Amino acid sequence: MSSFARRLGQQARRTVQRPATIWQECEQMLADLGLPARYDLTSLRSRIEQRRGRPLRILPKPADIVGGPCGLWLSTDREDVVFVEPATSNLHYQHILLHELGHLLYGHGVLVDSGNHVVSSLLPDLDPANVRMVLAREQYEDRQEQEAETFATLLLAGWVWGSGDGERPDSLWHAMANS
Amino acid sequence: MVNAELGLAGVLWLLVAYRVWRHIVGVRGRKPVQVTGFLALQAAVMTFDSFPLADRFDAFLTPHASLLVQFICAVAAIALFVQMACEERDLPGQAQRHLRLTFLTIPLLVVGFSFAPVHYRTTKLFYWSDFTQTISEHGWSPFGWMLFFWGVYIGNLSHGIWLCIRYLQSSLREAATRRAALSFRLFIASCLLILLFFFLGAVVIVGRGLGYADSPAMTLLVFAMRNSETVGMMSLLLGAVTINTGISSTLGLVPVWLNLVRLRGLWLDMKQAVPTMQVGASQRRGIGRLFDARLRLYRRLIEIHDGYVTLAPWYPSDDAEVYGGGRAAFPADPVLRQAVSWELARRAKLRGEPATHQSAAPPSMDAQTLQEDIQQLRKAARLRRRAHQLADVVELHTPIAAAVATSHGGGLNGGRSADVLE
Repeated sequence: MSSFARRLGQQARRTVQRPATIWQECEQMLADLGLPARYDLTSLRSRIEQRRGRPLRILPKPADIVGGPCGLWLSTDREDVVFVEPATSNLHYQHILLHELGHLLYGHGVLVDSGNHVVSSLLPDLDPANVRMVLAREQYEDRQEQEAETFATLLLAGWVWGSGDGERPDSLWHAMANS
Repeated sequence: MVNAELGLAGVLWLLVAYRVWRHIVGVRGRKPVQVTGFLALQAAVMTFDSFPLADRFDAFLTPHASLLVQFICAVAAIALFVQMACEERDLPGQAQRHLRLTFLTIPLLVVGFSFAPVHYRTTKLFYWSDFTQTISEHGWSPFGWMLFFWGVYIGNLSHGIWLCIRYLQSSLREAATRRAALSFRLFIASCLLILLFFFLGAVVIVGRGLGYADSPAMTLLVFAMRNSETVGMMSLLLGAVTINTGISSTLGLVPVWLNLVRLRGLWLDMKQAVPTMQVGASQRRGIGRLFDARLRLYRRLIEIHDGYVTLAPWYPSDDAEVYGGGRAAFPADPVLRQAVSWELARRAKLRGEPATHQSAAPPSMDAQTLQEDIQQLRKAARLRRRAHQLADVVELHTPIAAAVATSHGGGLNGGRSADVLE
């Protein structure tokens, strides 16, 4: 009985402690990123490109992929490509984009097999053999997704509520993301 | 019963004092909170009836311990505020001077109280005057000494309050809003009235000590003294209420909570249809709860949108297929028709039906700002109950399989999950 109680206590502690750690780690990572006080996607993007040493492309999710995932990050040997669901509100669009950028900053990734049909459907002009990693904003059970989601929440919720009236000049985001 | 009430009052006072202290210490540099915190603390200790609990321990501590504690707290509270104010205004000399005065005052107060006979006092309000009057009956020397102790105490408070007035005046010049300016004026008025209270108190003490306790002039002075204190405290309270940032923050949260409530039904629908995970409030430690309500609303919006994107493959392709050529009630309102279609898509997914390859836009697709997003989702949420009823009618009259196109299995692994904040 005592062993069961101990296990239960350990489980409860893990359940309570793990999310707090993710949030705190995320805050720490944002602090380490050293973004200026007033920043936008341009500065965030350049900071990510600088950190990863490779260009970053942001593209709308192909129309033939309906439903989930909302966003997808694909890493090739030359660049990072982020796909974002375009058929949604501006806020959600930005959130998905930041979620994928969170993956990049955390250095997450799932190795894919060469010749993956998903990859070829996303970037027809790309040789699937060059794709090193792919990660979709779909499965939230694993820690990587939780970290990326926390990153997006922390950053965007802070932005939209931190500006006082809950607004920010969002047009720049769409313009940059669709460029 | 009395002991329980006193105990409860003591605990409540300690909680209030702790919160005020946390405000003062934790938000250094935020002027309104500093001022409010200081004045609330000062009000608590300056009111001569605020330490009923300490009276209970008179038998165990020094005579009149409650008054001694009150006086020390008053001196310490003002010293604390002066330190912060001088630090903010970069006046180290003034801060040092007042600190030295405080370090001198507190031990002198203890010494002064140790002289006090046990059974001399009539009311707390006239502590010093009754004290001096009683002692003066036994000779002028102790009366002089007590005036000295009293002078040190009042001198300390007056010096601190004078510095506070200077600080408040400079803050008044920089006040960003009219409301802030008004509250600074009220604080200044309060400080001036407290100084007047000290002055009148001094006259009363000396007068009573000299044996003029029953003269009409003394009665008038006591009346003026009491009123200056009462008006001063009211002014303090009004200033605190006017400037209280907590009130504005709380009022600002009302629409957030209303939106949370109004979107709850729609959010629960989405949560039922898509997988969930824990991202949210439990992760936030040490951050104000004020932000948590906004964070919850933000997460709720994102989760609703996640639901729409996930349900898009099940969205009916055609109104005619949904309403079966007029057999079911066809709503004239296009927004309601859209809500019914989303509800049918949700039910189709819950039943595990195969997805179509439709591309459907969520209700707030064209929302560019957060407020627009909230407004449009609220419209959808308002129609939710009606949409459920119409979906029931549609399902009753139309085979739902006909309302969705044939299987396609669109997307990568079907639906994506929604995050749950709670």
